[in-house]
Amino acid sequence: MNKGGSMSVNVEHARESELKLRSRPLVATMILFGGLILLAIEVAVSVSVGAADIKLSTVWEAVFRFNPDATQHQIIQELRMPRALACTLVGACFAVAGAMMQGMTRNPIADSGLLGLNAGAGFVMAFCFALFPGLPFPYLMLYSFLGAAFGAGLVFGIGSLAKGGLTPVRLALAGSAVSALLVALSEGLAIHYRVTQDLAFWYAGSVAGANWMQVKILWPWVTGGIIGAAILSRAITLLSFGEEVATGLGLHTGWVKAAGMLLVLVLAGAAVSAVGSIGFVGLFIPHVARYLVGMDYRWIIPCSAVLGSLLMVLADIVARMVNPPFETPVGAVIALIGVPFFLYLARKEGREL
Amino acid sequence: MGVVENIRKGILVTGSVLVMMLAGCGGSGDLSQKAATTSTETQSSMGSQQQAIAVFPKTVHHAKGETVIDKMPERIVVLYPWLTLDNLLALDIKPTAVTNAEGWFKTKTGLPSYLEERLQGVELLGPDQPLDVEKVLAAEPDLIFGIHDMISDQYDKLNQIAPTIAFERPNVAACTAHCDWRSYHRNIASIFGKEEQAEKTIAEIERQMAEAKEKLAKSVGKDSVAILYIANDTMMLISDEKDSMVKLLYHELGLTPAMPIKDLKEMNDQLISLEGLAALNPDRILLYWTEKAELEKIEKSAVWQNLKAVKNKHVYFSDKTKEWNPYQPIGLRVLLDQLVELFAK
Repeated sequence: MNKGGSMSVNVEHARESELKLRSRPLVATMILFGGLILLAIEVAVSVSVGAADIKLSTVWEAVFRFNPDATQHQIIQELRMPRALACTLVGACFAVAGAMMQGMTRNPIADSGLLGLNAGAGFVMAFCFALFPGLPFPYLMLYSFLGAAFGAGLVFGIGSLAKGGLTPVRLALAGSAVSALLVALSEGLAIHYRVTQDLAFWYAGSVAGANWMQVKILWPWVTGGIIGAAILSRAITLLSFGEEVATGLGLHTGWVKAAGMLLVLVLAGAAVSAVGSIGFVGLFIPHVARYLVGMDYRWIIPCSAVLGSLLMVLADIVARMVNPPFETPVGAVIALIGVPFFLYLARKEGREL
Repeated sequence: MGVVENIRKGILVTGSVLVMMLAGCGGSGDLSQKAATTSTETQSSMGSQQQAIAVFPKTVHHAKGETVIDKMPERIVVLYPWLTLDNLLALDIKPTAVTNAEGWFKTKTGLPSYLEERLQGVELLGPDQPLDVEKVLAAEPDLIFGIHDMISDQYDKLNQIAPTIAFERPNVAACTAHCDWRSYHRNIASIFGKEEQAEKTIAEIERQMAEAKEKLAKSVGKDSVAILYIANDTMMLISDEKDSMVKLLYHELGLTPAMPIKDLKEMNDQLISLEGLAALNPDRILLYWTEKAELEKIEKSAVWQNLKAVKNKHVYFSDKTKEWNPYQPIGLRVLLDQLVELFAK
C-alpha cells in the first residue's frame, strides 16, 4: 500500500488494518468487473430499444455498417448511442460526486443536491433561459459549473460563519436553507420572464435530448474528474474517519477538501448541465457501494461510478419504455427504483449509515 | 356598434331619445382617449345610471365566492394579460390598468401586438407574478379581474382595494365552469349586460372558424398534424385534451391528431424524444411557442431532416405563436387568420 512520507507508520498501520477488516476488496473487484460487463450489456440493450421499432439486425448494421441515408440507422447513431453514453457518464458523475461529498463531510445524506450545487446551477440556468434564450450547450455547461460553484460557495460560506466552524449538521442546514432560497429565486426569475416551462423541463431532468456534442464535451471532464477522485480516494477515506484523525495522520485536510470540492463541482456541474438536476443517484449509490464493499473510499469511489452508470442507464431504458413514444422523467424512474431499496438499506444498516 | 345594444335596455326604461344620445356619448367616451371633457364625464355617469337600472346591481359568482357590482364599473384593472382582457376589449370596455409580460410578448408594452392599439393609454402594472399590489392600489380600480390560481393568496388584499372577481382558468383539470371560449366570453359579457354583443361576436368567430375549417380541409386534408413545443432542447408533443390548442385544432377545426389525445395529469406527460417523434412521423408539424433558435438547433439533426413533415416542407413556424390565444375572442380571430395562412404554405 502506498504510504505518505510524513505519516506516523504505527498509527497508519493500525488504521489500515482496521480498514482491511471493514473493506471487502474481493467483492469490490467483482463489482468492478461484473459491473462493467453488465454495463456493456445494458448499453447494448439501451441502444436496441426505444420508441421507434427497430430490428436487432438493423441495430447491428447501424452500429457497424452505418448507412447515413437510413432513418433507422440515424436514430441509432444520432440518438440512441449518445443517449446511452450520456447516461453512463452522468450516472457515474452523480454517484462519484455524492460519494466524495459523503466522505469529505462525514454526512451520510450529503449529495450534490443537498449542498446547494443543483440549486445554484438551476438558478444560473433560469438566468440564462430568461436573458439569453437558446444558448448553445457549451455555454450552458460553463454557466452550470459557475452556478454549482456559486451554490456550493454560499453553502460552505454560510456554514463556516457559525461559531465552531463547519460541522456536518451545519452544512446540511446551510445547504437546505441556501437551496430553498436559490430555488425560490429561480422560480421568481422564471415566472417573471415567463420561462417556467423551460426551467420545468430542466428540473424534470432528461437525457432524451442527449447528443454527440454533449458526450464529446462531457467525457474528458468526467474521466478527469473520476481519475482525480480515485487519486484523492485514500485521503477521503482518512477524512471520513474524522478531521482530527486525518490531521493526526499528517493529512493536509484543507488541501484535500479544496481539491475534493473542485472535483465534486466538475463532476456534478457537468452532469447537471447535461441532464438537469437528477437527485437521488448521488445520495443512494454511495450507500449501496459502502454496503457492498465496506468503508474504504479507494473501493467505494470506482464502485460508485460503475453502479451509478448501471442505475442511470437502466432508469433511462425504463423511462422511454413506460409510455412510448412519450418520455417519463428519468428522475422519477430513479426514485421509483431507488427509494424502496434505499429504505431497506437504511433499516438494515441502522446506525452505521 | 355594440354600444347600441347596451343602450337598448336604457331605452326600455326611459324611452327617451335624448338619453339614448347621452348614453351613446358616455359609452364611446370610455373607449376613446382619456382626454374627456367634464361635460362628457357627467353624461357618461348619467348614461351608466340608466344602464344600471337594467343590469346593476349584478351578483357575480366566481371561484372566491360572490361579488356584487352596484353600478357600471369605470376603472377595471385586469391582472392577467392572457385571459379576460381580450374579452373586455371585445365588449368595448377599456380597462384602466393591466399587468403585462415583457418576457413573453416580444413587444415594447409586453402585451399582444394585436391588442396594443386598443390598449393605448392603459397603465401597465408589470408582471402578474409577483404582483405589485401597491401599483394596483394606485390605479384606483372600482373592479378587479384576476385569475383564481394567480391571485388566490392575495385575494383578500385585492378585494379590500376593490371588488375582485377570481376567474377560473379554462384549460386546466380544475376548471368547473366556462371552460369553453364561448361560455367564457358569455360569462364576462353577462357581468355588464352585454350578452347580445357577445352573441354577435361569437357568431362572427363561428363564421370565421367555419371558413378556416374549410380552408384547412383543403390545404391539410386528412394529414396527421402534431403540435410541437421545443424549448431548451426538450420537446413536448401537445396532446392533452384540456389544452386549448388541442381543442381548437383537433376538435373545432377538425384536423387529424398525430397521436392519441388523452386526459393528462401533468404538462410533462407530453415530453417526447426526437426518436419518439420519428416513430410517430406526423405528416405535418406545427411549432408552437418555439423560438427560432430552438428550431435552428434541431434542424442540424439528420433524424429531424428525415421526418416526413420536414422532407415535404410541412413544418410550420411563426414567431407569432406566443401571441396565439385560443380562448379569447380577438386573439382567436388573429390566430385563425395566421393559422390558415401558415398552413396554406
